Amino acid sequence: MKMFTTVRKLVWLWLLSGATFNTAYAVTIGDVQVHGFASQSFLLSNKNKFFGSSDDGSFEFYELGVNAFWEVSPKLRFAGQVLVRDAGASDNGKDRIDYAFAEYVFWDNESASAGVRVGRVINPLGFFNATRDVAGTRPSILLPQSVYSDNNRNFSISADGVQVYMVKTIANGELMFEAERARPRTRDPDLEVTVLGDVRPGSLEGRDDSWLAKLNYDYDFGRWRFALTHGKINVDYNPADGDGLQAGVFDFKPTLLSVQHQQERWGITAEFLRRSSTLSGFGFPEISVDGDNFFVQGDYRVNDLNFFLRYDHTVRNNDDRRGKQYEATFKRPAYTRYAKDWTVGGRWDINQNLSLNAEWHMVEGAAWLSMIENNGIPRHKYWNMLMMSVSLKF
Amino acid sequence: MVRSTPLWLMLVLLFSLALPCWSADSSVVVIANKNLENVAVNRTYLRSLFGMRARTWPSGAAVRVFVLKDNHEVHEKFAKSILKTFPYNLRKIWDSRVFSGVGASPTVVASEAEMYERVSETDNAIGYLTRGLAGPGVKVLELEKI
Repeated sequence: MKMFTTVRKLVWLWLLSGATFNTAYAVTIGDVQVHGFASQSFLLSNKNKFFGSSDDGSFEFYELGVNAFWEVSPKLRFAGQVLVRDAGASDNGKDRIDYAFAEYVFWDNESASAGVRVGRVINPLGFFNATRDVAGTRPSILLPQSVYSDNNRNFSISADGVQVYMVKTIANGELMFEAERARPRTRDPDLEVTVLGDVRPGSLEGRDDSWLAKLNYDYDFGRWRFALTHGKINVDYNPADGDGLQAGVFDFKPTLLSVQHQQERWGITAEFLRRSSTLSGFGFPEISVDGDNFFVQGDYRVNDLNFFLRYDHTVRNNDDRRGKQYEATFKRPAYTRYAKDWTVGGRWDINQNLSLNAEWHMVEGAAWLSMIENNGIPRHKYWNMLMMSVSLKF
Repeated sequence: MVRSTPLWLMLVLLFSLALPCWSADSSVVVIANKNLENVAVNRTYLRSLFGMRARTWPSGAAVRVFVLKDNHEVHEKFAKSILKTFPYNLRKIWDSRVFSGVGASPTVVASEAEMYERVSETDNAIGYLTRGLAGPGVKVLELEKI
């Protein structure tokens, strides 16, 4: 606990320094470039809890990260990032390595690049996964939870293995392909609850044969962006002694379609994610569930101000979109199986390093709330949340 | 009846002559270190270079990119007239590379004077300046028409 307060002091100190100096640049030491980011949020919700005791007003959500990029030669690079993050019961404020990999460049020229990365690599997943912890790169304080669930962020952001990439300029655009074979990370407090419905005595272990691939097309330097992500993530369940469950496998197949259009003043972003999950083994008949999730966000910017409006829709099971069967079978509330979140918010970029954000969520449903945070079951179907944050990056 | 040319007409003529020169001098040009090999640049290539995707020159040497601050008016002109994009989009492209470990950010300089100095002193450097300020210490890379 003491460690957490020290880190929080550091976050505040850093944010204050960002407010004091007009601009901060990357720190360059020889061929190594160092960047960092920090954010501190305040959350106030009525009824359900999110990222801490938000029903009483909470400062429990903060992020602090430092990364280094070392260009040893035009062919060889190393990159790594350490993150400290607290988000109520769904994250614990401990330091962890987000990514750490070596990259070998096969070729890099006017019209194409290609290379391979080995180590803990970032999962190529939609538009926002790669930099999901850097508040300044997110479209809002809270990522649209339908697609970017924060309960499983470690699982989502990176994996340990090998990744190849190819970039090619085509006509007035750029085509990029990334694919990886890597072992997923399974140390999220809420992962067992998400996968198995409860905290279990056994453990989930990611398997090496998991893969993920993404095809991205940027037209006219990002005026239009399209991406298609697909993969198969395999996770083993190893039961403990006296466990009620037997050994089993959780297979997760995400299919994600992303589209963005940007103009000088306005932009629109939409992503659609189908989660296909299969549980086999465990001592019960195989279960397969598909859930369709999407969000649509419109942005408008005037000078240093950015405003947005978003609709974000989460469905756990397409065959039971309103959770009625679930409620009848498991005697748990139907509204924990879906969520509809209307969000309006804004950002003020004080300078290129420092931003203030605020947003208001109006939610029906509790599908993306942490069960651990809410003592097993979120109590309220309709709830609202105010989020405010100050964030810094250099 | 012969009348002398009205003053307003003279002024209009004067300005219409001066205007093209004035706008040419205040337009933004891409500059490079004088020792850089001759490279042909079009908009697509410049986007790859300033977007920090293409990291090496055809010779194999590492590209050194210099830019002004996001809110500098010359940066905005450069983004809009040369790259045909917006400063916020460039920032987004750089941040997404930097914070996912796949690239470095360009070096930010505080003024056009510093831009001139740094590009003229740094091997394999590329940057941009108001045309009138691009002195003999740097070379101007004229954009190829596509």
